[in-house]
Amino acid sequence: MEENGALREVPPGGVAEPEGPSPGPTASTIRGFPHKGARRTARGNRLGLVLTGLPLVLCGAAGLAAGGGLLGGATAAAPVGGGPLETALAWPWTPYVVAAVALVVTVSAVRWLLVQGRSNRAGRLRVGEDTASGRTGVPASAAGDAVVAEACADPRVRRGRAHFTESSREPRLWLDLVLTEDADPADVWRTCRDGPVASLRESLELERLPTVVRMSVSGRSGGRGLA
Amino acid sequence: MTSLQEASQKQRTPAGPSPAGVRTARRTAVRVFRPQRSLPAAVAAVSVAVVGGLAVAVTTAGGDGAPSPLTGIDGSLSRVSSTPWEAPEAMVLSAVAAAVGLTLVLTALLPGTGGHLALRTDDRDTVAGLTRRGLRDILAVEARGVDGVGSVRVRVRGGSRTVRIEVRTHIREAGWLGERVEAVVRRRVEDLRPLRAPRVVVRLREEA
Repeated sequence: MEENGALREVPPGGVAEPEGPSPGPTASTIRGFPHKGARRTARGNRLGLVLTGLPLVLCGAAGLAAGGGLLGGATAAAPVGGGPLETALAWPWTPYVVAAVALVVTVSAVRWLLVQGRSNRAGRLRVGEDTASGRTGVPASAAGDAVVAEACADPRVRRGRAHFTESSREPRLWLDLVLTEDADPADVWRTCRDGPVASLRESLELERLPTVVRMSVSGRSGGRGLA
Repeated sequence: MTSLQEASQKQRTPAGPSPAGVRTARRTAVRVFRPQRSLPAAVAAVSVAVVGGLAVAVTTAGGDGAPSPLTGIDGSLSRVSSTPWEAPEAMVLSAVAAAVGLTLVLTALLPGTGGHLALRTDDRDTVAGLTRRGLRDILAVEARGVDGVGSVRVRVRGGSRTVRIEVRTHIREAGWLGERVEAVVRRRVEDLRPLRAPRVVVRLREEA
């Protein structure tokens, strides 16, 4: 079995013995935009808004066109429930079709509402490749706490919070930091990338650890203040 | 050394980022900080669920020939269906529906702005952003550091696209002070290396 260029032999039905130095980081399979999962709800929201908005626009425009006489004087004077709508309502299956469609729409809307709280978080991170002897994992909260503790060792960082998303094998790190007012955010994210995040990437034996650093500033000046 | 280790080693060496890598990093940062549109989505989802639920209730309630328990809704529906298209109420209803629908479609299609100022990293695996409030506080500290400034009020508008700074001073005819504050704040913004530098507008007020 070849893993990361190092040949490792697994005895039939036995346990692979670790040989020599660490085989190096796990090859990344991340392609393109690394935070697709985090944007999935956003994409769904855009689709839902378009699917809700378009029928309203079309119905509203049709109503304005009919009322404004663009479809003829007879149509403008006709009742809203008359004409083809009256014919459709008279069909015996119409209530059942309307009920079925309304039920599907209602269930979809409730699901749409529920996914707003979706977090896509990874609870456990896997370290290195799986072997015949098993797999190594670490709780995501412990890894996050370690990164935050290292980041907070910088006096410019007051406090922080970290969580991981997407998969346990190739996680993405979201690091929220609260800085002091005199901190240089550009310098802080560079320090984090080269320090705590690089350490974590090596500890998890990952080739890539896509990271989002979101920084805010502590203090309640509210943008106002005396010199 | 394996090819993977070589690749990892190459990644750590401080070589200048390629133009393609810079473009990828930029696109990633812009996408990460785009708004989720959760509030309009939640409002739309609740509205659709309520309307859909009422439609189910109305169509199934009177199905067995018994009198419908939703007489209010039934009455409204029959009143609407007998109203001519040219009636003012029908026109207003159509206009409202079209306007709401257009708002929802535009909310979905326009890129929008998130709550963060995306910073330039030139690294495809690192996205950095500063909250609008953080930007406001940092620039307020910078503006307050200019000699002659009495008090400062900073507002960040348009999703970090414009920074408006109101400076109060006791100095008379201090037009130069506004220019100095603007220069200091612009320099601070440049130091942050934002993907898109916000416009800085300084307004000077002389206090009695």
